[in-house]
Amino acid sequence: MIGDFFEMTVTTIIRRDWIGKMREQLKSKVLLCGVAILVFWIIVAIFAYLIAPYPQQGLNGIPNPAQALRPPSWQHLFGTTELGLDLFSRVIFGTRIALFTAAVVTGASLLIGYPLGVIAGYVGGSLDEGLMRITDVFLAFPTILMAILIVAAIHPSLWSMILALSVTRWPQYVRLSRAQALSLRTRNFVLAAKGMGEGRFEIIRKHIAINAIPPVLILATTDFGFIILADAGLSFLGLGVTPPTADWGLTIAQSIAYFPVYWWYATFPGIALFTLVTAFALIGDVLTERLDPKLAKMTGVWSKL
Amino acid sequence: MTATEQPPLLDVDNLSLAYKVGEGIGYVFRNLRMHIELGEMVGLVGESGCGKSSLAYSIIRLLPRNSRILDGRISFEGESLLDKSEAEMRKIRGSKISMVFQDPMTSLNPVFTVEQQMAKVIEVHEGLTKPDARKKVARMLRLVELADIERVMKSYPHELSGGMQQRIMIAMALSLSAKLIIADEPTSAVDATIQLQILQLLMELKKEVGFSVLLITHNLGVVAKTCDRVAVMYAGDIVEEGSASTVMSNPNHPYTKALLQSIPTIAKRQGENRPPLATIEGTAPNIFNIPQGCPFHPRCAYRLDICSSIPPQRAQIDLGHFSSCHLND
Amino acid sequence: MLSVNNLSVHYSRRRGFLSRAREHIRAVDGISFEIESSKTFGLVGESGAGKSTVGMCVAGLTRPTGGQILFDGADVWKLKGQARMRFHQQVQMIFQNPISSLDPRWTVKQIISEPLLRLSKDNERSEGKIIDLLGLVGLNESFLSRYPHQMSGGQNQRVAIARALAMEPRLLVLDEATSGLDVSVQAQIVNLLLKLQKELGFTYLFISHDLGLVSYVSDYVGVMYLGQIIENGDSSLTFTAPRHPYTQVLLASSKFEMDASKSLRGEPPSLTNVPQGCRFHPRCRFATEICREKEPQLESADLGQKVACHHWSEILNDAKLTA
Repeated sequence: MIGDFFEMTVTTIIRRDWIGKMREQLKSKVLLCGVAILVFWIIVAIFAYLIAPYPQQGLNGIPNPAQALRPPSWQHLFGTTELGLDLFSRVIFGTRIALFTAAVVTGASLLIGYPLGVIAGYVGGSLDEGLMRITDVFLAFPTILMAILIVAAIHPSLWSMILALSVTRWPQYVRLSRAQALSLRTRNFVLAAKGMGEGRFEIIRKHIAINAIPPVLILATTDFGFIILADAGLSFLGLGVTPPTADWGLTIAQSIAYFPVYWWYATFPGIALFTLVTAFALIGDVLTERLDPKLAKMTGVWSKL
Repeated sequence: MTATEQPPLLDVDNLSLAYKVGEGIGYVFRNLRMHIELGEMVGLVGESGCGKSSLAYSIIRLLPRNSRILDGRISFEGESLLDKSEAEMRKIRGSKISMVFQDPMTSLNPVFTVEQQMAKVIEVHEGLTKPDARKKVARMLRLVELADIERVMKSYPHELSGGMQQRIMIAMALSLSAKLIIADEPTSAVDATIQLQILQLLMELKKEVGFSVLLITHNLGVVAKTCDRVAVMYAGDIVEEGSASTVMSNPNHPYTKALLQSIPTIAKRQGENRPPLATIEGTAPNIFNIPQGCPFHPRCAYRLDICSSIPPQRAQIDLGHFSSCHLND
Repeated sequence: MLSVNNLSVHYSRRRGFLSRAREHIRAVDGISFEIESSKTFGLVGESGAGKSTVGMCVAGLTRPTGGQILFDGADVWKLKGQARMRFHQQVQMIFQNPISSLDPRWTVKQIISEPLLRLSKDNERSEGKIIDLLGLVGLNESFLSRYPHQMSGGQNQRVAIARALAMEPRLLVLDEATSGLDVSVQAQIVNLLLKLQKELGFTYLFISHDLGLVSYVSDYVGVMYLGQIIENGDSSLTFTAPRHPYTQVLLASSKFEMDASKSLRGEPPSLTNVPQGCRFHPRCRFATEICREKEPQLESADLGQKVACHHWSEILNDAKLTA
């Protein structure tokens, strides 16, 4: 009896494609969610000076021992740090660092990695081989290790962290763009362009460069989230931003000693970090699904985005 | 039809199928009728998008999730297939009704050897032991005239040529004593000479073993020489049906006529003279906007006023020869 | 206009993903033929025969490893700079699978402007010219802003043809140009091509595996098998009176004469394992000792065509053999 009912329910669900329909609805909501969160944080970052009640404390902060480690209140929405600085402002300013780092690192990786990868993939030969060996070397290094090495050479700072992260991320972009270029190279429309007498670089510029973008874009989107996390991690380890800058990771590191009694100190930056990274993950996820099957047929991706 | 006449092996009556894509509903076919007798090879001919593959998948009930059979009956050996449960269909698929697909490379599992794939199917359906199943596999492979059977059995599909793969597909289709084999464009992926061998094999086996074949193809030439009967499909309707020789030599429906006239053949080239191939103006409709009345009317050179409003009825032209066209009224 | 002499394309590749052994593939092995101005030369054969490779060499897209291709007397592969550009302008290729030959991110307008811009820097008159070209292939203005994925196979192929025409070529290489299309669409494209040839005097190298199609379209035909031309002659003649055993079987197969399959033995060939002597001998029922040892050369047959077979005259004369 129960077995029949169960079978009937499952069959109905499958027949009427409820799961598929749910997924469709969810997908667009997910995308909306992700974009909403992202937009929220971008606005926060841009208008930090306006939003933060104590911008100076957010930026650096002259210690104010009298207000040390106060729990959340109306004057200090997120409470205060051990130096008496307003946590709310510090979290807001932390957004700027997170987004800035992610933007610069991803931007640099794209600007350097993408063209290199596309050219290497299309032209092939010794250029390609050489580039592959170099990227292999870089790929062999885990991010944190590379950061440590670089930091050992120059003292930790925002820019040393950005450098370390860029250096470890760009090989991925090269690899991916190269793979795209390789598969595009033998496509008929490229042959047709060759048949019109177009030179190698002309073809790369006109045909390969744009068509190779979609998966690279997806990589960049999900990478954003990863970099923010890595930034937080490096700062947490003391390898990135240094105090008194209000980086989220750094803040969390400083809050460990006071956890769990002074719970607000670790919690709020943590939540901020979580939401921003998740936003990128959600966006990247939906983008992957939207773009991927279409990639196989190389249909009008731009219009569908 | 007298009482002693056998009912057809497969009888499709009044079948209507629709697909839901996004917001739109497309009608693949409406009120389709066709039948296949025991031991005959029926060719289902039509261009891409006319619904012939959908018909095949309707019969074995492997339609995609967004489809709905709106009406009609499909009976096989007297029993209705549409009423059967999934479990019952699974018993029928592969054993009573088998399908051979277009691209053998993708239909065979690349990680199992030929022997493993074929034996497994036999073991599951017929409950034979492994050694018995293996013997049967060897027997089936011999039936499809494969050389060097031992080697073939131990090979993986990608190690064999396209022609050999297709023979294996046929062997698999036959291994469970199928009564009906549905072959969906079985020869499009292979060369002309291999194509011929495969088709000849199919015809001989059909005579020897006695199964029926539904041959789905866009190639009229194949149908003319291999099938007993042919059904011509356009935009989901079977517009003409009859014995292969009759329909090919004496087509009645304008679409069939136009199709035959548009195929370049060696005979059409007369020395320096090259009469242009007949073309059909316009393009085939997709399932979302099938014209009112006769689906072919916008492209028909002989259309009448009535063709755009009232769909033509299927009428008998001759013994066993049917056509749906107002010109016959 | 076009003369192909002893063309060869050999390449080697690793036998498998992990293997170090290399196999040598003689995709094209010593092919020679000529194409006269304003005529159509058909190249027919089954898959793996090498016809596409020949097409690519003629169009200047694949470098041959041996032999020459002479276009208007000049060796195509020795041309450089301006002369090479001019060659590319005069010889254009139409590919199989229409949608793959168009950049998926470009509109029709962009696709057809590209060759126009290469020929001249004249931007203003381009749109008018594009519309003219579209008209030539039977498409109207509304197609200008469409993307390849928004059009059917037949329409895509027409755009590809329009693009080729924009270069003002003299020779078109058509590599299975209608293979993916429905029969009725194929007829439209074929009629279009023939009409253009009559009005504008194009020369065609028509590559296909469809014998009916090739016989209808071509004036002369070359039959390829495993990288070589084994029969070559006037199209109607070759298909009504084939002299090479392979051509005979191929013809019978395409007409679906069921008994033809009996005359073909064994498995289709592989380019990595080319038989000694006459390449067709393992599958030929007339094969004798000499066929196994010596490679036959193209020699003239009775009606003016060329055949590469040791026994063609015996096969012709001995009716018993063909029974």
